[in-house]
Formats: sequence, structure tokens, C-alpha cells
Amino acid sequence: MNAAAPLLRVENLSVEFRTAAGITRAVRNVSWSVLPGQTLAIIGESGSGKSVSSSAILSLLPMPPARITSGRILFGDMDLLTLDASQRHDINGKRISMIFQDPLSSLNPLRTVGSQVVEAMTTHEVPRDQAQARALDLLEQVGIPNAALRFRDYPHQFSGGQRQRIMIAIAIAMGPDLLVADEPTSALDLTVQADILQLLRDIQKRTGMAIVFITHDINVARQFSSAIVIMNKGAVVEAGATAEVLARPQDDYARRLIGAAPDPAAPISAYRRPPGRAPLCRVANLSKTYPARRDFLGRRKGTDTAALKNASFDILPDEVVCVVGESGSGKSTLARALLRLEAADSGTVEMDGRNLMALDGDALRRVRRDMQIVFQDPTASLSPHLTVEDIVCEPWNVHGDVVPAAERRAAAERLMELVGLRREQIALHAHQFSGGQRQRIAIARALALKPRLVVCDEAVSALDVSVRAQILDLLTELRRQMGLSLLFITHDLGLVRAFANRVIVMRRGEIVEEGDVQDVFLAPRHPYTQSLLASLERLVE
Amino acid sequence: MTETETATPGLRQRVLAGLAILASRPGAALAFLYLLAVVAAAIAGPPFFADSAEAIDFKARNLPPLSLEPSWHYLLGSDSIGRPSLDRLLVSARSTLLISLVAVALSAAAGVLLGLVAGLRGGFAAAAIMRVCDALMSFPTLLLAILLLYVVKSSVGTVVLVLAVSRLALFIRVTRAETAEVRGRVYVTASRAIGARPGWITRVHLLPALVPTLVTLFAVEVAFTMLAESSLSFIGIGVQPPGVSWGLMVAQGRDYLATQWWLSFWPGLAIVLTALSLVVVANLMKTALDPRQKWRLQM
Repeated sequence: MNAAAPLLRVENLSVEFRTAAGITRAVRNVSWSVLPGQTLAIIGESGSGKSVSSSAILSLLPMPPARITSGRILFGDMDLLTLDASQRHDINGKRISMIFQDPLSSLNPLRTVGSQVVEAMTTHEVPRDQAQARALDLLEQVGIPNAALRFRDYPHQFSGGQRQRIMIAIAIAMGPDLLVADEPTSALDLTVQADILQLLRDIQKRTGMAIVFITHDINVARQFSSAIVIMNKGAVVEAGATAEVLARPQDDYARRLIGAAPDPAAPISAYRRPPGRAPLCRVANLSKTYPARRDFLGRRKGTDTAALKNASFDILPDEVVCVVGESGSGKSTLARALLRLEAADSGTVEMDGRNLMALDGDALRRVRRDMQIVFQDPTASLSPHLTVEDIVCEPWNVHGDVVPAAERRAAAERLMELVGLRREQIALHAHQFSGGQRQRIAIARALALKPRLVVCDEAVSALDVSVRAQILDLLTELRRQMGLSLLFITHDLGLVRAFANRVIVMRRGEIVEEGDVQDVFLAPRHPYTQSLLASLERLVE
Repeated sequence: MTETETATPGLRQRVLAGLAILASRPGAALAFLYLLAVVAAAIAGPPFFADSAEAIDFKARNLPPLSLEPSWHYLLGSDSIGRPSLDRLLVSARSTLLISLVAVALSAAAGVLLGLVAGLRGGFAAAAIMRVCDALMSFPTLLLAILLLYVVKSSVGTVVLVLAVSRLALFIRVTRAETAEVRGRVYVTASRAIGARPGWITRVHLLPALVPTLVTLFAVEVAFTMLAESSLSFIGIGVQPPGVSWGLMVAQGRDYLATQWWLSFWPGLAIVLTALSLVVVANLMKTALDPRQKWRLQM
């Protein structure tokens, strides 16, 4: 095969969605191509059409409502858009295969993983005994320990990273020429993400398959791909060699997108904790254990889970304390226990010297005014039944003495402007806003009682990169104006660099490292922090 | 006070918007008109037609439908002693509607209250309520009603009560399930973080989430209760003559099905159409009450 001839060419592809609400042009005249053995990253924010254009390759678009209005997808000299069902069968899974973001929902929960890998081959007429042998080999290749023993296990018995490995085993079973990977690592922890990318890179080196890698994460694209396509609102705005495009983006949007991504080379905020200041909030020996489930006779099934073990730290007035940890590290339990949204087993939380754990009823409600929370998903944290006015005024309606009833509307309008929304929008419902705007509403609600501490539980993780940067800027600005302390909980180490004053690293319910931000980043003491930082800087070799 | 000022449109605009929605949906409009007619009959039927409905006239016995000869009262035919079916239908609309509406209203009020307690409190109270629920549900509705009506003397009041008790479990179950689900939502946690009391959370967050489901359930239950009341009357333990109800009319026509089919047919049709219309209108209301779904109605 001629090395310069593209393996797959998408030409002038346009896709529309026809729904009752009207026609949405999801993809407009998109063209790109991928060479044999190449890794192409398609980057874009939600709604940019990056997934739609690649689903068309495997004919996975729901039609209707989707309709392909123009274009060709050439695989060799075959137009993939004109294939009939039997020709499709010879392509999908055999020469082109795909992996998805959520490996739990793309594996059948009712069948063993072994049988699912075998089926990927028997469906393409591989004899069953050969398929069995190769399936075992594949599971070993993708790094499932004790593959022979685990062959008959079900998907829920594996971790998220392992499930994605199993999906990869299924995808490469027939030795495809092209793998389409739709956000395959976005739901995974940083260290697991690095392992999966390394696995894909190793397979690619061995088999020479091409990879189309769809992602919103510029850092991943930078390290993993050799060519890049940037999409915005259904159109390609910039394409070229990865290093070239990321270093010198020409298009306006591309420049903003790349600028908004956390830069691993950006300067770290310099902060020295002033000695001798009284803390605003002091957490001491906070612990929480989730007891094992008991069966009908009260016998324990499994073991207790210690979600939080003896967590102790201080937050000074005006300080940004970031808690970093992977999923299951206990960082959300920490936030909920600290705010007494969930009862801790032992330990104390002192706000201004008053122990929260000893308060009850009205005294507790009074302290709640000083500490508010912003949640990860603004769609879930805003009631769909209320107008934005009712949402923003809720704190005042609950604590009736803060703002007189007659002035609440005006005060709410001022808050809207403070968080960068328009006054008139106060009459709308939350679903009429974009994700970033919804998070602004949630922030407005959190600020209504003029709290002194705001806990942000993964408050920007669900947002697009450019929106994320805006919300972080907003929080920084508000903090300056109102003199807030922030407890910022995140799994994204890159985010913390330029934003935090203090960093707390958590692992399996324990605080393994705590310090001023530059100390943690430049001279990490704990091996876990070191490995986290290493995987941030170097995802793949 | 602040929330009603400028953001919400006035009653006039609301009514106009409602009419516009109905105008573009002929099915729903028909259902709505039919229900209006039933309500009108329930209000105006007894005062205007009570006498003519009971008037025995042997010259006009066993008239088939579309007989306009003695008078228009006989449009839907007459029975073996010459009572006009149309008038009897209009008169019995009131008792039929009242029995089912009152029964379901009682059932819903008690069920929602108990369901909220079970969903919010947990512990012994919840366990007790739910076990009673299980006991009620393990009996077929009609069997339960028949058993109860053999014990107590059958009258309109007892029929209402028996029907209310027999449908209680459904309201408790639905309310409790929905409450438990909504209680776990992040916006309720956010409200707790603000410092809201349980009463506030119930009023502001739980009830609005419950209403669309309850409206649908209410309509379906009214339809079901109407049919159940008919069945009770049909087997002779529901409304007793000289009382009237559509169900009783179906029952009384049973012996004449082969010769005078219209005696059972018209009340039967009225029951079916009422049930159908309630479900159609409830479906529309459910969409209209959900802020996220409302836009669908404006197309």
C-alpha cells in the first residue's frame, strides 16, 4: 500500500438532525483524512459535531432524526455511506472498529466478558475454538491480570479502567485497520488514563492500525496524536500536524480553546501561608466509614469501607484550598461531612471556633449561612420546577431576615449581573440556559447569603474547557471582591496549578500530602503525588 | 408576593394560551368538551330532568334510539316502562361523577399524606404504612370492595368510602417512591446546605415534582373508580335503586341486552368516553405542568 494514500477520507460531510424543534445542522461540510498507522485527534467542545461526524463512519447515527445531506466517506476506494447491510458487516468490527466513553454501558452486563470477546470474532465467521484461544490471548495482551481465571467474570466485576481494556480487546479482535475512539479515557482517572493511552500506543506500534481519537482534552491530544482537527459548531476550524497547530493556531476559536486549556508549563502561583493567622475553618480527625451491608439475618456481607480517615487541615480566611484525588479517594465525602450534609463518625469541624458537630436546629442553620456549596452538575443542582428568580432567592426565603421580601427581586438581579448573566434572564427556567450559565446561577445562589467559605465539589469538571476557564476567572474575581475562602475539590491536577494557594492530595480516604501549591508541585514528598504529577506531564511514551 | 408580579402571565393570557393549545389538538379539544358536557349534566341534569327521567309512560315503552316521535326526550330510546334513556343518563351523571371524584379525592388526600410521611421519615412509621399498603394491594380491588360491602350496609356513603380505601395503596406507593427519589436529588441537597427546613423542602421541591405524576394518576383513578362503581352496581351491591348511576343503568339493562341493547349501551358509552377523555386531558396537563416539557405544547 502506498504510504501517502489516506486510509480513510471524509469529504464534505454534512449531517442534519430533524426534530420537532426544527432542523439542527450538526455537521457542516466537514473534510478530514487519516493515513495508515497515523493517530488523528478530533478536538471540540460539546455540541461541536465531533462525535456525530465519526459515528457516520460506522453508520451508527440514529436515522431518522439524523440525515446525511452531503458528502462521502472513502475507505480505500469504497464509499462507506453507500454500503448495504452485508457489505457493512464486512467493514464494521472487522476493518474499522470503535470504542466508546463509557465502557460499562457498552458492555452487556448479563454476559461474561470472555463470551463478548469471542462473539466479536465468531460474528465474523471465525471458528469458535480459534476464537476462544485468541480471546484469552487478547485479554492478556490488553493487560487483564489472570485472564484465564477472569474469562467467565461479568463486566461489573471489573474496574472502569479494566472494562475499557476489555472494550479495546473486543475492538482489536479482528485486527482492524482503523480504530475510532470516542472519548475513551474521559471517564477515567488520570493515572488510569495514562495506562490506557499507553496500551493503545503499544497496540498501534505492533499492528500498525490507524486511530481516530475524539477528545475534548487538549493535553491528551498534544501527547497522543500526530495530526489534529479542531471542530466548532459542526465545522472544521483548523487542521494540521498536532505540534504545529497547538503551537501556532490560526483560527480565533482554536486560539481561545488552546489558550483555555491548563498549560503544564504555566507558572505556578507563588503562595506562602502567613504564619500565626487564626483559621476560618479547622477540620480535625474527621472520619467516615460506610458500614458493610448486612443480609437478612444481620450478618455482614463484605467489609466496611473507610471513606475518610482522620482528615485534619485548616482553611485560612481568603485562601483557596484545593483537594485533589482520584475517584474513590474520599474527597466528596470530605465535602459533605464538612458541611454536615452527611453525618461524620468522629472528628470536629470548627467554623470561627464553633464546633459544627455539636450544633443542631437553628444554631446549625445559622452557621450554614457562612458555608455554601457549588455542586458538579448544575443541571442536577438546580430545580427544574423553579424560575431562576426563585432559585437565587431561595436562600433569602429560607433565612427571612437577610434581605427584606420587597427587595429580594432587585437583589437577585444584582447577583445575576455579578455572576455575568443578564437581569431579564431571571424569569427563565434553568433548562433554558447553557451548562456554563447554569453553573453561574448555582454560584449566584451560593453567594446569596454572603458566605465566608464556599465549597466547590468538582464545580467545573462537567464543563467545556473554554467555559471552565470563564468560571474559574469568575470565582477568582468574586473571591477578590467578597473576600471568600474556597475549598475547591477536583480530580484535575492541571487545573489547580494556577488557581490554588494550598493543595491537599487525597488517596483512599487519607490525606497523603498537604502544602503550599508550589511546594507540592515542585517538590512533592509522597510517592503518590509524584506519580500523579508524572502522569500529568507524560501520559504516553 | 415577588414571584407572581411580572414573571407570570395574568389569568386572561393563561386562558387564551390554553384555548390556543386546545385549538391545535382536535383530540384533546373533543375530550375537553366532552368533560365539560358531563360536568354540565351533573350540575343541570337533576333539577331539569329529574321528573321526566322518572315519568312512566306505557305508550312510549321500548322505543329504539332516534325516536323523535313523542318528543326529543326519546332520542336515545326508552325502557320497558317508558322512561327516556337520555334524561336518565343526564340525571345520573351527578351521582356517578360525585361518587368517583369524592372517592378518589379522599384516597389521594390520605394517600399523598401517608406517602410523604413514609418517604420522608423512614423508620417504624414508614414500615407500618408500607405493610398496610402491601396488605391492601394483595387483594384485588373489586374483591376487597365486595367483601367490605357485605359487611357494611350499602349506601352512597359506604360505596364512596370502600372505593377510596381500595385505591389508597396506589397513591401511597406512588407518592412514597417519587418522594424518595426526589429527596435524593442534588437540588434538594443544595437546599439542605442553605439551611432549609423539611417543611420548606416538601413545599418548594417535593410537591411541584409530585404534581404532574399525581394529576395523571388522579385522572386514571377517577376513570378506574367510575368503572369499579359500575361493576359494583352491576352485581347489585353498589348504588341501590331508587338511586341512579351509570353503572346501575348498565346493570338494569342486562336482562334486555338481546332485545333492547340501547339500555346498557348508552351509559356504558358514557363511562368509557369519560374515562378516555380524563386520560387524554390528564396527559396534556402533565406536559403543561412540567417547565421542561411545556414548549412542546406551543408548536
